[in-house]
Amino acid sequence: MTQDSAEPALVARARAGSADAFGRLVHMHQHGLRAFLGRLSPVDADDIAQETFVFAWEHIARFDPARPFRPWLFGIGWRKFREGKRSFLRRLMRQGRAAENVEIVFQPDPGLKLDLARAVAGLPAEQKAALLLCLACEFTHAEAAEALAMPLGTVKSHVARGREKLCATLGERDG
Amino acid sequence: MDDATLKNLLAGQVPVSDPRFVLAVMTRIEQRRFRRELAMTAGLTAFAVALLGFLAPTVEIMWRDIAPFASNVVILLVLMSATLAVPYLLPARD
Repeated sequence: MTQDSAEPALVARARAGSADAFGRLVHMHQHGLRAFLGRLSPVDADDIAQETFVFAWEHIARFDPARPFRPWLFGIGWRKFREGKRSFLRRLMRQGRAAENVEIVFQPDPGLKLDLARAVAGLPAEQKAALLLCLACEFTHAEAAEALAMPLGTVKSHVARGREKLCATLGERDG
Repeated sequence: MDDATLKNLLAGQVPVSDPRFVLAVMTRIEQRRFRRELAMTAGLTAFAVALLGFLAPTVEIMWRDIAPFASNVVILLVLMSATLAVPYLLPARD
């Protein structure tokens, strides 16, 4: 059974209350979600990702099984990120928890990665989210629009502008 | 710069498989469930205590009336409980 064909069955079992099935869904989606949130909020990405999965488990009965699971999940992650930005106290608690688990990772080309991190950090949150979903997470524009609760045209323009800005920043470095 | 290069650069250092993370999520789910059930039990207990406190004078008056028959009432309750428990104690059949 492939991952894509297994997902609806796992979602159905999770909706019926199977924690084991939900655990497998977490395993399937943790990589993409954490990578996405890691670019939005590097300090407390794992904490937001965990909160996202907990919320998804508690509200999985509301999920429409006829729709794809990934945009719904990433939509929760996006809302959690926005909520965290608004709530100072929550942000403070998350940063405290995240500080306990900081890992230093050496990267193959730290200069380029740092430039990219700086360029991404300079983008507005909506633009950054749309760009990350469509480029890094391989979402279609429609899926990204669903996850971010934005009109399709807005997502397309965010992606185009974000890509332009990143290319301009990274191009300057190369040239 | 093409999309593939950007995608490679944007890909984080998150491991594709991370059992520790999955475990952390499932632990958090269990902690929430435990806290919720604890809060519910505490709430129900507080309600029951308050209700008992409120009804205590009435119950005391009623108890005075049935006190002479208390042993009969206890036997009746034991018999009723045993009758209700029998189906649960027998092994299940297909």
